[in-house]
Amino acid sequence: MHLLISSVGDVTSDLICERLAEDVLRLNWERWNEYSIELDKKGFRIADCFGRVVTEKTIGNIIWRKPVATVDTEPGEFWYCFHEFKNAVESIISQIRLENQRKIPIDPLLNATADKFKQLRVASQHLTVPPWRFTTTPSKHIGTSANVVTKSVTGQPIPGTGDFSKVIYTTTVDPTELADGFPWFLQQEIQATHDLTVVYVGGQHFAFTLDRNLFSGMDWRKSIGTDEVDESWQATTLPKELTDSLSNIMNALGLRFGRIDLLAFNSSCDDVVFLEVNPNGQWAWLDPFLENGLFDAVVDFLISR
Amino acid sequence: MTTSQLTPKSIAVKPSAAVHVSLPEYDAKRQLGVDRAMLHTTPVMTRATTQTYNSKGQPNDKDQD
Repeated sequence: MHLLISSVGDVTSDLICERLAEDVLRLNWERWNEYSIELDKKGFRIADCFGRVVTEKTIGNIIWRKPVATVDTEPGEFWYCFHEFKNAVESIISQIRLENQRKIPIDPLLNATADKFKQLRVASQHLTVPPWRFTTTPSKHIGTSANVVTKSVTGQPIPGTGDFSKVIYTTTVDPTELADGFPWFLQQEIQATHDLTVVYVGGQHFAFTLDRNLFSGMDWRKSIGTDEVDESWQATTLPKELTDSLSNIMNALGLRFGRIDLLAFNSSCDDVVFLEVNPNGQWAWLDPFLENGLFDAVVDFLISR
Repeated sequence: MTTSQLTPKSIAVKPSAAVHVSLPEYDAKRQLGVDRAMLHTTPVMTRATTQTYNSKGQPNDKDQD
């Protein structure tokens, strides 16, 4: 029995559960009080309201989805109990990681692999990486690069900026207008024809391109929800030289899974620059009809021994 | 020093719906006739839609999205 950690709003988990049927117990964080849990020095037992049970003896893999739902933002007993419960589950996961790390094929807690700067250093040994700098004194670097974008290293929202806290997408900036005293990740602006995203699944490459003429601005994520973007990612085959380079980067980072973002200067992807790897990146929207092999490959990977 | 004024909040924008709850996935799932009871989320209102389901896992008539 696999243990899938997620939240109710995660459609990708819906699809995975449908595929795995009776072989998975889905634990939705925000419904923690619908599960029973026992944990002592000998092991653990988690059961759901459907009668599915997972123990230290029966557990297969842990499928740890990224979203963690907000659970009652008002501090109180429910909030307290959720964090007690969550701590116990995370302890169970830690023990499983200790015993057999491969039982957690995608592990969000391996933060080292999410180190963007390490990624850029490693990737530059295999692919072109646009010049970059992290600085709290952008005024010192004015004039060093005419066309600059800024982006978030962590993707964290900024609290207190509305009902849905605002985020920073890749944005063209004039470095002369950036305030000193704030952390800025700056990178040379690249005028490419296509976004290229590659889902790396245990050595397999599933590549998709998006024509950058289909949206405005630098970051396609601003246009999620529009037909022009949502329906326009095209599966593509990469040159072997590029897949070799990507495999080398992933091996050097110690990653078996990740979504690699690049920019391409043509649709054949024989001229690209590397941007980043998201070790727990979203992927299911690239195979919404379960027809191009990506979904099957990821599910196989998630339950592999 | 310059007269710089932009801080991170100045250039932040409202986030788009996360791709993991985007509508294409949801529509695909509906076409597959997923039994919501198997998904452990019955009934559910996701961030992607306010579509609700009856006890047989069928979409209710009125899609409130």
